[in-house]
Parts: sequence; C-alpha cells; structure tokens
Amino acid sequence: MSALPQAPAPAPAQARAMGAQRGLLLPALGVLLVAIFAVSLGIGPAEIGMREVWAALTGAGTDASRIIILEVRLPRAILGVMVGATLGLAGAALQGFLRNPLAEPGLIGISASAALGAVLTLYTGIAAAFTLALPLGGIAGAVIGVGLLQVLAGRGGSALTLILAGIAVTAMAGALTALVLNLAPSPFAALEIVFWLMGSLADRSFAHVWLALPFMAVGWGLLATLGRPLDALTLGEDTAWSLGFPVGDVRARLVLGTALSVGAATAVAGTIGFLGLVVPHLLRPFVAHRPGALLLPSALGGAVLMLLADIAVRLPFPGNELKLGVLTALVGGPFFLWLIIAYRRRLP
Amino acid sequence: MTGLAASGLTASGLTVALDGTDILRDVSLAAGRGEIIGVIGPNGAGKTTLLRALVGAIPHRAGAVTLDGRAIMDLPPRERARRIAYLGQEEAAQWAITSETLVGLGRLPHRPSWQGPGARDREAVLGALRACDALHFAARPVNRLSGGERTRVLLARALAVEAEFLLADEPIAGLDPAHGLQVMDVLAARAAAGLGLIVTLHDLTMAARNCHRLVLLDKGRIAASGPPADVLSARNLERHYGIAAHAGTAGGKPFLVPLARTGETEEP
Repeated sequence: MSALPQAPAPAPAQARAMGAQRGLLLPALGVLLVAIFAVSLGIGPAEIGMREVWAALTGAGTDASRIIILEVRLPRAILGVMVGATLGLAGAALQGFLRNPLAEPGLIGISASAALGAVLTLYTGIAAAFTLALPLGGIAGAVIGVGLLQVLAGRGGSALTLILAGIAVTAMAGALTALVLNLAPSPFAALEIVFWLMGSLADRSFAHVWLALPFMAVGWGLLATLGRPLDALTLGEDTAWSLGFPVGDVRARLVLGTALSVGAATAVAGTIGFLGLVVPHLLRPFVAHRPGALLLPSALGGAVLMLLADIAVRLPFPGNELKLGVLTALVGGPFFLWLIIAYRRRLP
Repeated sequence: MTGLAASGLTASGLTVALDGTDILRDVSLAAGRGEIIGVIGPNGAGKTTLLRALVGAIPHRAGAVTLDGRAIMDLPPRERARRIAYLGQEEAAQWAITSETLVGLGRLPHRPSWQGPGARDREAVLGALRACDALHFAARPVNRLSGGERTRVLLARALAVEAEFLLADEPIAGLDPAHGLQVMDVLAARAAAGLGLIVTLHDLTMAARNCHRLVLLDKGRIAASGPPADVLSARNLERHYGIAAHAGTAGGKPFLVPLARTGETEEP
C-alpha cells in the first residue's frame, strides 16, 4: 500500500475557518432573535415607540401602553418564539431521522389531528365556553393522533412505516375536518373554522403561553436528545444500530417529542406550514450538513422566521391581518419550487 | 462448536426469518480475535443476513449469538457498539458531510452524549483515514467522492470504532485492483494486531488468499467451512456456485479463475 500516494492532512486554516463559522452561528441567531423580538413588540395598530415599549416592560409608562405591551404583544411574541422554535426543531429532527430533506413536522399527522381537535371545539361551541377550550381540544386531538400513529406504524424503527402511517393519519384527520366544515351550521361558523385553520398568533394571551409551554418543553427536551442518534443515522439504520443507537428507541423519542411540541403549537396557533421545511434547509450549510448539529440552530432559526412572519402579517393591512399560514405558504411555495429545481440539477 | 461458551464472537444454531421465510438455517460459526473469516456463497445465500444477525440488527428466530460467552443482546448498546463494528454493504450518506465527519461517526460509542470528540478520537479518525488511503479527501463532502473513494471512507468509519470484531459486508466491492488489494492488506494488518474479522466476499481469489478460514453459505445453510483450499474444492464450486474454475498457486498462495458454468447447481 506504500505505492499509493499519501497526501497531507487537510489545511488546518480551512478547518479552523469552518469551525469559526459554526461557532458564530448560534450567537448570531441569538442576537437576531432578540432584535426581532424587540421589533415585534413595537408593531401593532397602536403607535408605541421603542422607548415606550421598554418603559412598559420595566413597569413604567402609561397604563394603556403597559396593557398593550404586556398583555397583547408580549404573549404574542413569546408564543411566536415558542411555535417557531418548535417547528424548526421538529422539522430538523424529522428530516434527520427520515434522511429526507423534504420532510416537515406536518408529515406524521400530528398537526392535522391537533387541528381536527381544535376545529371540533369550534363546531360544537365548546370553544366559546372558556378561553382555553380550543387549544385543549387541539392537544386532545394530537394525543389521539399520536396514539393512532403508533398503532399504525407498529413497533420497531422503520422510517417507511412511520411515513405511511403519518400519511394515513393526516388523510383521516383532513377528511374529518372537511366533514366538520361540510356540516357547519352557518357560513359564519364555517368561516370561523377556516380562519382558525389558516394559523395566527393574534389575540393570544399568557394563558395560551402557560398552556403550551409544559408540553413544548418536554417535547423540546426529547427532540434535543436526538443529536447523536441522528448523526449515526446518516449511514442508515443498521449502521446506527451498530453504533449503539437502536432505531426503534430513536423513533419513539422523535414521535413523542414531535407530538408534544407540534401538537401544542398547532393547538395554540393553528396550522402553519413550510416553516419546518424551510428552516433546516437554510441552516444546513452552516453546520456542515450534520443532522445532529442542526437541531439547536433550527430551533433558533424557526423562532426568528416565525417572528418575521408574524411582523409581516401585521404590516400590509393594519386592522385586518393576514393569516400566518397564508403568508408562510405564499413564501414557502416558491421556496419549495426552488428546492425541487436545485435537487434536480444535482441529479445526473 | 455448538453449546460451547467459547471466547470470541460465536453463532450457534442461528436461524433467522425475514417476513416468515427462513433466510438462515442452523448456522454455527466461531470467530476468534486476530482471525479473518471469509463468508462466501452465491447471490442470495444469506451472507448479508448472517452479518446483520451477528451484529444484532435483525433478531434471530432460534439459536444464539454470543461475545465471549455473553449473548450480544444482553450487552448494553454502547458497549456492544464499542466491541463489534459493522460495515454494511449499501451504506450511503444522505447528507453532504465531510469524509472526516463521517469517519468520526465511528467514535460515537466511545464518549457520553455531552462530550465532544477528544484527542484520542481525532487520532483514531486520522489513523483510519490514513490506513484506507483516504486522508487527502478528508475535508471533501462524501457526496462528491467517487465510488472507490466512498468505499474506503466507509471502511475507515468502521475501523475508527477500533472494535474487537469487525463484520464487513463486501468491503472490496467496486474497488479497482490496487485499492482492493490495499483494503485486504489493511484488514490483514488489523487482524495481525488482534482484530477479529468476518468478511463477506464475492472475489474467490481474494477470499482464498486473505482469509484464514472460509464459510461457504448456500440457501441459508453452511455448505462447507474450513481452510480455503478445502472449501474451494472443485466439487464445492460446482455444487454451490455452478462453475468450473482453474485453480493454481501464485506467490505461494492459491488463486481461482472461474471458467465456465456447469449448470449443476442445486437449484429447485
């Protein structure tokens, strides 16, 4: 073998540069998130300057601005961070597990079943009974959805059965949601449901934050443990197993973590597509394409993009906001198209 | 060897069913440290299934796989992963990670989840890359490697585990002769240093020249096992491969050139 050429190790400067780029990613996303969070607090029908926003946050300022900032815009922005982080994190985890760059959090049917649960509370009128009835219905829907998913997907770790089961759950929940719309007693009731389905962070309170947070926190915790298993899965399920990561166990954590976090996110914000698909793609080059290293940046990036989207829906028609799901689809659709074209170019 | 609580990696009476069909039936073998066992046999004989069952990636219906007398399924996953490495045949990296990162995956079982790679890990990765003549494309994304380069990087990943046993499925498939010989040299060197190897091979000359023992599988059963010269007899080649071959010696080691199909396999 000595006859074969032996080249020197890769240039350390290049390796260092790549390391530095990766090291800066998280701080950069963190700073961006804080800045956009602040901007988000300054945007709304009432004109409140940044100085006044700060005053309201620290307990000073007028009563009116305090109420607007602390009870309307702050929970909305916090919820935006939570929902965006959830979608980014779950999207990165699912793409890593399925080894498919086109996977997204809605794929395994949790979003659809949570939406169905919430829609049922609107249809039956339970949603009007108390503030949290609707998100609680969404969480109940997610629980039933994940139960069904597990039964359909069976035990073991196969990615294919998980996708097929997810498609089945999504189809069933979608059909039932359509049925509920079909049976809506009045056009107004139907419109209410349709608007809710489009996703929004408007008129949410801290009650929504506190309801969603425990579910999301546990879900994030589970998904955050997937870093090394996802790296190991780069080479397929047998190799991941041989490296000490049983795929069945990894899949169970993925499904439960996604169900808890995405279920809660859908319950409080409706269905918001494309974010979980797009964010991991945008950030993958910055972590040298390592699926495990992508999780945390994707969570931060998801939060940033969600806040940006939530700012964007408030700007064009003050008083008549766009729906978040509409905006993310408007932006995400063309992105998806570009993705397909880019992949096709790379194929021979 | 059945029933012995022998040291090394052993299978006894191993029967594996996939989708209700027995793919392996009553397979027993024992691999010691420092030994290269070649698993040969026609397509569909169950070679890959045997390797997957030995590493525990698929369950067996009957029999046992033990490492130094302990059932491998009773070993904690991390310990099992450190002691038995596996190189699959159809491994393909989905993501555009660099070769070095990919080889580094072999170090995952060696550290707890909160720890990054240390000096020892880096040393193992570079050593494995160097052994497989892959150092000069260590920084290149694996999706931009040629087939032969990728094969060597994947082998380096398996060597980086620095396990006691390595199960390698077709490690030289798709390599040019120089790199095929090089990989066999690498495996021989690792075996001389104490690694136990079970390798599936299609190249009978490579098998004859490099393995200490051969196991010939046919239709899920062991048809013959022992020293290469015995297993690769004209009778066995005709019965199980359906070929006639020219056998000779070169440089003190045997070689085999398949010449013709005899059409006398035990096909149903």
